[in-house]
Amino acid sequence: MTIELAVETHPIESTLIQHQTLEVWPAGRTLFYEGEEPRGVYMIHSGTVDLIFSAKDGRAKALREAHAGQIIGLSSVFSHRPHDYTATVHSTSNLGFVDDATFHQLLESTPEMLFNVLRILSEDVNSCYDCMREIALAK
Amino acid sequence: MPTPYNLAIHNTCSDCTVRENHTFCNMTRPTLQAMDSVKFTSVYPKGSVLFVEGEAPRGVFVVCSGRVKLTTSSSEGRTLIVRVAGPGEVLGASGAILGRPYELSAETIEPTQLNFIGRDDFMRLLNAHPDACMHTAQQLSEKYHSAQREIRSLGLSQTTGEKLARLVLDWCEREGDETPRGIRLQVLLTHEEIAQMIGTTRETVTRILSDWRRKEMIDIKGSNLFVRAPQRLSAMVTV
Repeated sequence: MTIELAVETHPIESTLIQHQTLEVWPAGRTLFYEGEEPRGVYMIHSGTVDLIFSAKDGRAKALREAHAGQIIGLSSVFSHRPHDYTATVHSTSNLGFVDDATFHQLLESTPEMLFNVLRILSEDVNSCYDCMREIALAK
Repeated sequence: MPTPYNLAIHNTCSDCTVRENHTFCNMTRPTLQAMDSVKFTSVYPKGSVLFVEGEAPRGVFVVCSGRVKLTTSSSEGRTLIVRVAGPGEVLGASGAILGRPYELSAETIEPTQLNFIGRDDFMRLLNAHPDACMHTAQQLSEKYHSAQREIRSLGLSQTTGEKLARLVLDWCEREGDETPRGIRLQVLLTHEEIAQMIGTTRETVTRILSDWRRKEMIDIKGSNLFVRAPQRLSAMVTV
């Protein structure tokens, strides 16, 4: 089977791609659940993933979406924090997975990777602000 | 010796007495010395605009003391206060790192001491000092998680009362003082600004606070807000 890779890649992705496990994920499958300890990062090569947030009473809503070229779970893996949301495949996706231990080994052995982590975290933060703007100000 | 606005001014990062309390500032001595050689320290009065959403990134501001509100606006002119930043926070980092316009506007809400580092110097600092890079990444990661919390609250709260209750409880957790009258909060924001933090109108905030006061859940004295029944506010929060 041919796996389609994201066209534009960050330098960090080229490093991670060498260590990834590739898998095709069907729509509806869950990568990880909110509150779960992070096991690794997922690179989306194609498809989309819903980022679902839950309330204490069980209500859940997909408030963000991740697309091809994005890496999900990076902030949780980097800071060793439980996931803030549940990630469920929205449309069939080609995903590359790099486990937590490999990610941290790469971070230690490839110092320039840290700078690229900064870039991705910056983009993640900005996309959260876009999302907040959309939810709170678009009414 | 008198200082501007009676703030305890820290002129150098390497000799700063409070840096150990702040994740970003608590870097190695060589990195702090490098930062000292490129930063400009200033004290700003309340209401000073540091940067504006959409402006090309000139650099980053490190908050030494005081507080800064970070806002974003819609094309119709509605404003959302994304966060109030405090000591030890770096502002404008994502814009500076990505070389893209600032995503937010920043304005001081009380007299504030800030260190400004120009973008080129900041990027050089990150390249030359891995711990500066690591501390910036930790800070961005914290901002990311706090933004996700806001997204959850904005997207899943069912009523404005619930959003306001969660905001007040967050303040209690971060900066509340236990007193015989209840948990004391010093609120420097106007009702209009509180409304901008939860995406509602000033009138609604005033109405809800009056209602809570009547029900003896809170008490207000000047800029002090006393939370008398935090458990009743907690019961309103579902996210």
